[in-house]
Amino acid sequence: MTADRPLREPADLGRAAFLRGIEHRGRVLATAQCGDAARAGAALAECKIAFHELAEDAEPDRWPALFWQSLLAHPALRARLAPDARDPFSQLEPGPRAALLLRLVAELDPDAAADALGVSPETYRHALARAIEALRAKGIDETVLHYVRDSLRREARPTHATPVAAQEAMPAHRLWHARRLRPYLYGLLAVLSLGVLTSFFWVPAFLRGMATPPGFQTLREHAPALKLSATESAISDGDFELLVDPQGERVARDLDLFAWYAASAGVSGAGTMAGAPLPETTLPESAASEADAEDAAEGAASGPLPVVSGHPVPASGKKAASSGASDAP
Amino acid sequence: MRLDRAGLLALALAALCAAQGAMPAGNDWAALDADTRKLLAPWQENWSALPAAERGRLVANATRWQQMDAAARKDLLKRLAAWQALPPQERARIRARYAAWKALPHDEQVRVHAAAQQFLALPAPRQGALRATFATQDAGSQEAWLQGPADGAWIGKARLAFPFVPDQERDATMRMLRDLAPDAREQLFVLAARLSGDQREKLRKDLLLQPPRERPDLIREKLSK
Repeated sequence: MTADRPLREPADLGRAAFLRGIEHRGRVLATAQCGDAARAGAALAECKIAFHELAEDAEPDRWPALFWQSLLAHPALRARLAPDARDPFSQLEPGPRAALLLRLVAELDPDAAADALGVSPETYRHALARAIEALRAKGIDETVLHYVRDSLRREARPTHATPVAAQEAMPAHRLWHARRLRPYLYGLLAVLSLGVLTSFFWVPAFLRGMATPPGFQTLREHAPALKLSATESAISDGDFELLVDPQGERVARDLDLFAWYAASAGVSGAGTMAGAPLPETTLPESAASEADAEDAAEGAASGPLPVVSGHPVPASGKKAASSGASDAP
Repeated sequence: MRLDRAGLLALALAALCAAQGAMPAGNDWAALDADTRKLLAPWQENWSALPAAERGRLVANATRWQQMDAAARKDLLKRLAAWQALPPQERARIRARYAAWKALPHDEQVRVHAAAQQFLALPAPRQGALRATFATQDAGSQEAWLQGPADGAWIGKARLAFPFVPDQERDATMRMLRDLAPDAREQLFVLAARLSGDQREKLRKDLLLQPPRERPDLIREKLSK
């Protein structure tokens, strides 16, 4: 079957119905996995086409595994995310992240999740444990994880589910209590407000002339442990080694870029002086991200070959390689 | 033979004792020269309570400071002020990259330094174009280059080929991949791309069990099937 053919056969309609039921959950998982709703939507669209082809000859009980397999095989869902403190999943490698999301969002048991990832149940359990350990190491404990799980599951609920009643009828006895208490609460508020106002003009005798509690005195009397001069601060700074090595620091700031350039431009380093000073940079770092794509294409065509996923590719093949073609299996 | 062994053992013990004796003496407050003591005066009171590594670091930094001329000291203080003004996340990022840089083998450091020299000598638009090209790689592939130019090219692909390596097998797997000849490694990635997750894991485990010399043959054999 191809994506162009309209869905007519009963089996086609069955698969379409299955997809309608699962796709919202798939979208939530894909968004959490790739960190971007637009990319997740595109991945889901491609997944649905792949699913129809894969599921054509499969029994319906294999459909969930085939759906998740098709979705997680998409290159957008296999990429690493930039770590973001607000998104716990960004702290994880793609594999363990997928393992965790299959549990939290797809709510698959370990065997089904292992099937969806195409690994053994043992490997899946290991990946899941690694994900939870990695999150714990980043300070994300089970309480946070439970909260994230609950909110993801709420989000993953089918959108056509019966909405929760907006206003739940309040039990009669609670209404009675609230009404009865209201005058007393207003009275209490008035007394407290008067007390606060009075305290600006009059302090009760038992509070006058009271000595500062000993704890406060101790804090006030003790000076900071060490007062350091600028020189002493520099000597004791944990980053002293980095600070006295400006050349090394400059290289380290763009280590990934320079290593890539060395590999793609074939820089061997032979015959160069190890400690030779670096030229002053002519491009502020902040400007790097502003360089536009046209500049990139023009500039790269005249120099070392551009590299995609570690492969130098010829200028003619660059477009295809950089448009998302991946060496992922 | 036994005497030789005993002699060697005695020599090793003597060297160890000498080293142990020398280390505390070197960082002992009384053993420091007057200039170093003056620089480290704020720590004098608690000197003996400081961990040995911390004492060693302070002494090394103070010695380095004394070797610097006035201009270099002024420059360092300026850099320190700029460094402290950076956001903590940025400092942590640079610190981690500096550690990665220091961990590279010497020849790799020389190569990256030479690449930095060439790169920074390029005109600004060309640098910008190259940066933009570099940024087209996914985040994982970019990060793989922190392992240096020799390993960076294949580590990103290895991560995609074998995403579920258990922690206890990670070092052995990296060693196995590093020891493969580049063409055998490329063949392995091509092969892995054709396999399911289970088959890839099995292939990885089979390769680890093979003697290093026989691994390329196994890859070629499986690839030809």
